[in-house]
Amino acid sequence: MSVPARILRPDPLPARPGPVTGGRPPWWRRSGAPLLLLLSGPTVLLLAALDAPARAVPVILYVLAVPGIAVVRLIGVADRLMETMLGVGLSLALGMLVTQIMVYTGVWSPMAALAILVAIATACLAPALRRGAP
Amino acid sequence: MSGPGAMPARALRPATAWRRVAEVATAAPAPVALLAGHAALRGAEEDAIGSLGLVDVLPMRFWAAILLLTVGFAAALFLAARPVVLAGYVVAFTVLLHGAASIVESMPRFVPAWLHVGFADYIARTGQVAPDLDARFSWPGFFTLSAMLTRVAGLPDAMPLLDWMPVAANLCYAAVVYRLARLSFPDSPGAWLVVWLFVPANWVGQDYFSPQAVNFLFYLLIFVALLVWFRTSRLDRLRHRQHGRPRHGAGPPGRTLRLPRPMWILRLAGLPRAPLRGEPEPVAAGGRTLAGVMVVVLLLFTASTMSHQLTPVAMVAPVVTLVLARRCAVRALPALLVVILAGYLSYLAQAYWSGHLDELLTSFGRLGQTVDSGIADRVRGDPGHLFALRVRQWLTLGVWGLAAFGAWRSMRRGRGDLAVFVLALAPFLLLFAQSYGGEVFLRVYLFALPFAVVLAVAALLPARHTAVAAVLTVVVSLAMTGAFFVARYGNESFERVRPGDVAAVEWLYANAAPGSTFVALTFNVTWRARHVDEYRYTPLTDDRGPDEVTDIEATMRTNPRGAYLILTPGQYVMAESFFGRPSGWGEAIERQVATSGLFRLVYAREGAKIFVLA
Repeated sequence: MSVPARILRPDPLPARPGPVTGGRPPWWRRSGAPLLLLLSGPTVLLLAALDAPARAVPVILYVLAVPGIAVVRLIGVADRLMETMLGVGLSLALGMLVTQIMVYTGVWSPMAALAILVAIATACLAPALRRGAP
Repeated sequence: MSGPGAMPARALRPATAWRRVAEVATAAPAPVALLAGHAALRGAEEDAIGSLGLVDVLPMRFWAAILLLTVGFAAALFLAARPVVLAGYVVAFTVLLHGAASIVESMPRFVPAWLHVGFADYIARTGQVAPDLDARFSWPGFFTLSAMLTRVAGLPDAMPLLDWMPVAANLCYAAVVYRLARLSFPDSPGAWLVVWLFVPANWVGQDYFSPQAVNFLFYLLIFVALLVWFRTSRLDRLRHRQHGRPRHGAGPPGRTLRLPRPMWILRLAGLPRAPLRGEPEPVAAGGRTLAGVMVVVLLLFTASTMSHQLTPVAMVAPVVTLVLARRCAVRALPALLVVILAGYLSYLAQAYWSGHLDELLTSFGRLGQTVDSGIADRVRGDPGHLFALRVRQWLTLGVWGLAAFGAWRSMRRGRGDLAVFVLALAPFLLLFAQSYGGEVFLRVYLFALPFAVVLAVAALLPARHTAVAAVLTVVVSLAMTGAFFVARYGNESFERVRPGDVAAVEWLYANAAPGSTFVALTFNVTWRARHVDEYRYTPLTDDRGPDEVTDIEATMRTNPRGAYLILTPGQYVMAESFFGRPSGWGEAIERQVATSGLFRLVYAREGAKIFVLA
């Protein structure tokens, strides 16, 4: 029998806590975070499309965090801190990639860029919602 | 249990009550110090900022707040306070250090940040980039994102983001540095101390509204991801040594060349036979997670390539060194990164390198030239500025000195981490690449900093006596914090933006015909935050200003659409403090201009003056 190539070591940082009691937690507790993230996308799109006042903070926070966190949640990173920070970094990266491609292809539209980022986030969050992952 | 002798259900036992009191007592200093420090900064007199920078105006009660915060943190750290309490201290510390200038000053600081606002504004208006206008448009990712963000958020431009940027950026860095530190300090206190000392150690000021601020986050994330998930395990390294090839790679069988372990060096340095035996192991993860994280790493690198000239280059050398040191399991990663970088430079940054090829090639490998432009040429200015330079050098040497001692100490305990050593040293290879306008030393320090601070804390922890460690923590932290305010804000006399200077530029935009030339003595003018493409901006050559007013007149006469000479106190202070011009130099030029008969005054307010040709 061959020795495993990697010495497995538990992650020193706590992973997501499991349920204290037996049985599955209710759907709203299982799906709360993904649902909130999922609904925030159409919300910021609507705010931006309607030119709503005082939309700056929610829109900026969304663009700088949600698309990337949605993608990173899909790949199953157990480390919550790295999931969040990789998500923020990836949100910035996706924003740069989408907007720069738009400029280079001559189809500049800030609203379309926001819609693309919302679509990416929605596509990545939907599977988590369907399986009721926390 | 009921009955006359039973305790009420909700009564606290004395030990629990005292514990709660202790928790509140250890947590309380953070918000108190934050509020007190913030109030002290709000009361500081911005116009009294002199040649020493922000420290000229920081009142004693601000330093008292810093002392309270530091002692409170040390107590919370060594009394094992909860992570949320320690995080609160870090947030308060970051706000008081990296937000100090934003709280004191009435205008967003630092002229280059205003320029970046102008780049984003240009893209938002036109949907295009203009590499012929400025070389930074060849790496426009940060500006295109800012342009999109301001439009969808309903902001007129990115100006509201300037004040928040340093604090937000440093909080993001702190979160990632914490994860990095947990690799070397699985217990909590060491990791939190790394984050705490990182805050004042990061004095270089590259966290303003700029591509570098975001790219440093990319840099941190990529290398922490590599260390967490893609580090080679000890077993893989042993297997490689025994069989002569990596487990997952192709290669010839048989023994590879192995260098003998330099035992005499280890003995001379007082190190054990196996100084690296306690290196961290990679975190276990499934194939999907590993593949996904690698895709994220490549996306971060691609975004970095598209948004900054230097950072992706600065990432390749440490990755290569990690692979050569057998501390990165993805041996194809350097090739992947080089392909992405070369592809972007070849196809999308052609406008830059085709016009700057000489500059890129002549400085490559020229260490002496790089050192001159990065150090020798910058040692000039008034006594206050020279003192700030000295403090920067001492703070830098202090961090590196502690890091060197910490590296030795960790190896002596058998807990040396070669990957961290590599990442602390590899950025120095940038010195052989180019001088980056004389700023390469700042970038080398920045890219090495997170790993240097991890090593520096290894000099302090673990400690035999908790009380000694706590006292050392307070002393080192206070010393670094004091040095931070001089190093970081020592140039504040000219890096701050004066309302009068801004008003003069607004007058120009309101009155000058499009296509006019704007002439200034130095580049320290808050122009180009708007209309970056609509006027000709001409800071005079070498940012040293003219010695003869006829130079100014000749420059202004070249444009038939008209020209304006803008003279502001911000330019004079920069010329004296940074370029070493004699005191009163700017006012003397102003008198020459006014009495020459060649110019006519059209604007004068709050020390700023604007002239046109007579």
